[in-house]
Amino acid sequence: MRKTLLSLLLVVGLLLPVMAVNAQGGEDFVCPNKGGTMVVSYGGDPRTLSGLYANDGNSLFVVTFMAEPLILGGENWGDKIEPALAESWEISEDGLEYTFHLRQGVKWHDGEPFTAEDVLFTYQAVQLEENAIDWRPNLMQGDQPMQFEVVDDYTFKVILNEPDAAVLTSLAIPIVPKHAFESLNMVDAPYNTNPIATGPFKFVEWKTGESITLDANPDYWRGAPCLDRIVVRFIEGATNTANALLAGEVDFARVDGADVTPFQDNPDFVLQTAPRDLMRYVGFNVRSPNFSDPAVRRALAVGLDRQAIIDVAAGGYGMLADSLFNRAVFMYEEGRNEQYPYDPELAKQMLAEAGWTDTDGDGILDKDGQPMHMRLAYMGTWSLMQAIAPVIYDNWRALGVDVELAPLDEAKAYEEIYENTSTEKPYDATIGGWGLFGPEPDHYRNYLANPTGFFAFNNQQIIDLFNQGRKVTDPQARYDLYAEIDRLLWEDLPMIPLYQAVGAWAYRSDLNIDAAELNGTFLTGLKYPGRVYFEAQ
Amino acid sequence: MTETTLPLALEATRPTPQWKLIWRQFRKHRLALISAVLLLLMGVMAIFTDQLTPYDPNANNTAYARGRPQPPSAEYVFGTDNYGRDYLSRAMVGARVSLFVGITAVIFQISIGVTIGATAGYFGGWVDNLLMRITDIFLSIPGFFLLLIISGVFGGTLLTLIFLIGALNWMTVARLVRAEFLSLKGREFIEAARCIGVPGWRLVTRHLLPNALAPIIVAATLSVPYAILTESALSFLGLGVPPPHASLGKMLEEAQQWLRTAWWMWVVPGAIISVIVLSFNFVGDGLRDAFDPQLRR
Repeated sequence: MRKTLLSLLLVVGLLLPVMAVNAQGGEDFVCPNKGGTMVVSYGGDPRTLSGLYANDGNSLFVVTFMAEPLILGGENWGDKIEPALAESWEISEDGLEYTFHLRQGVKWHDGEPFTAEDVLFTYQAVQLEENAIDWRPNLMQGDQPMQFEVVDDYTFKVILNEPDAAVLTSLAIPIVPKHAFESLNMVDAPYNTNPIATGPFKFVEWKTGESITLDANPDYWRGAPCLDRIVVRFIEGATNTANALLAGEVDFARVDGADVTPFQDNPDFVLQTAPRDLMRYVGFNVRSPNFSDPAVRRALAVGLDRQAIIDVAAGGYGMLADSLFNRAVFMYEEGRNEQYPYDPELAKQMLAEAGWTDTDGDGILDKDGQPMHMRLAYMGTWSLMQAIAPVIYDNWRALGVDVELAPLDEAKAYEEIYENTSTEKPYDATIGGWGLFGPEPDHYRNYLANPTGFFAFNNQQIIDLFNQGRKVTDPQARYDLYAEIDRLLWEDLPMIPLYQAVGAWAYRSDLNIDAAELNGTFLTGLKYPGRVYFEAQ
Repeated sequence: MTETTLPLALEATRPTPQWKLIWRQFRKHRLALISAVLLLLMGVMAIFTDQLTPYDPNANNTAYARGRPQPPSAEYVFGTDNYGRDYLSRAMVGARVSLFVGITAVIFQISIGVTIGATAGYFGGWVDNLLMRITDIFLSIPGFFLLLIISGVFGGTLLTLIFLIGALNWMTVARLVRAEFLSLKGREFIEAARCIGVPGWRLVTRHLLPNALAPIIVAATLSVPYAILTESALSFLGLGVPPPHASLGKMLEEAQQWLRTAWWMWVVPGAIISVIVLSFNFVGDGLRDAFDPQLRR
């Protein structure tokens, strides 16, 4: 308990100076020192460099340095709704028309001006089914596509068929330039490996398996970046990343778990933490007969030492969750839900009350002759899942659950878990992680209110509330409704939120990122990468 | 009657039994002897692992470890890993897995090798030709990568690993047995056996195989370390026994991120693998010397 408090204090303490800078920041930042190359590192080759197709960490990481959406605050684009390429916007009385006033004088990396035509082109491309872009559901209302209208070069209208309060974050899709494409169909467009965007850094070179080089965009609308160049080196694994940092091969990177240690009290490095918009969970297949009873799921939550998981799997860098939503959602309130304490004895008692006792003395709980077997599936190649699994195994074994760990290789994990769109799941429970959903709770609907989602969720009351939430536009009414969902989910517990990740970033001590704002809700960890600079020697 | 009156001088020249000669020679090889004792001890330990482990090898003690491996102490002789699991218990279970895989895989590979080698050597002609070409084909396969692919596709359970290690490493034994058979086939005692009408299968099992046994035993002993190392390497890559169960290779894999901070995490499994592998090598060495009549003095 003390440890949790401590890490919380740590997080808050580190956030304060960042917030102070934010208050005086604004758009007119002047670089104290210009020049230099910052080497950052991330897992591996991106699958694509197009902001529209990037849906994996490797791709999103690189894209975040280059591309921008109209508004910040969507998936991977921060935790606040803020203007980016759109300067301001108005919403009509009936909540059906959104008018965006675009920033003038913004130029694409090749010098062409950015206009409303580009926005229209981007959204139409996303809506085109053949393009198979993951953002498509964002721009659809049921089967009905949203309508768009170019009023003039710098005014753009989105017309909805029915009110949708989540639309602002749905529209947070990186804009692509119309003139870089031959047609709307962009599955094999050369753009996907040679992108042009409006962001602070522009694409220069991609050495497969090695690195991507990005140069400063001197015409960037927030002001030319302080650095000349960013090199994204592909380094897999936390240990390798830490070694590369220590060897001076990388200047700025996120470090993890045990590999944080060498950077603590090290004069050559600065170590900063920030909460990340990521949740680690163990979710149930709520249709599995053994785990269909919420009382059983609550008992298992009580019987799980989540602080131990934070210690073991995240090196202490995590916050115990008291909600199924990440803290970035707008209606998050600490203490709304009562925390499930870790108490194995209480857990056993709760299981007994739910009808599960060990009647035949084999050490495994049973009910109506059915032993409590659990096939716990997860992506075995993901080291974080590997680290979490043994704790769950041990804790629940101790309660009398016959846990069978099923580490799956990547292809199998996609088949059984991530791309399994049937309500029949071949597992009883699964360990996973998700996030970058931003402030909008509606983005959780696909997972927490979807019978074909990971948990085969089937609580109709919650599903109805989620659907209702999209139609409510009054802020207070929305708040109340999602607060109610938050409460109900905490009781139903289709998944046990293990912890919300806290990122630790280590970087060279002569690198200054204060004005760039370390922000864990961006994959890059930096809100304004253009404002990173090397301090003068 | 005659036996009782046998003169003392004759008694002394009665040939010493073969096994005694071998034992005498083996004993001279100090390292082999020590290794054999070590292996015997480990074998006993492996059989009684469940009774001998001081802790449940999968039980966490997170309150004790608090996310970091804990160094050896009076409570935990080999320390604990970052889950607070007793490292001694895990090492014992891991050593059992290694020994089990090593020995069963080798029994399997010897059975295949002997069958193919004996068939080829005994029949000769086109049978020999065919079987030896098959052997050549198997020899040209990069075994480790095939193992990696197959166990990746079919799921790397312990049994598949044993099967695959066996199925990909019988070639040396097959060649050895064939060569031995070819040279034995021409000897007088075989011709004599043929003349008195000993049937083929009996010729193989009673006369040929026993005489080819020495090189087979040596090859088997020397193959065990290879099988153990292969299993460790595959465990290191995430195949083999399912988590959270321990094997020495898996322990090494888990030790990776603690190389700088917790030496016992890699020293313990690493040392045990080395000891087992070296022991088998020394015993194999000792046996080869012991079986060699040229070396006996």
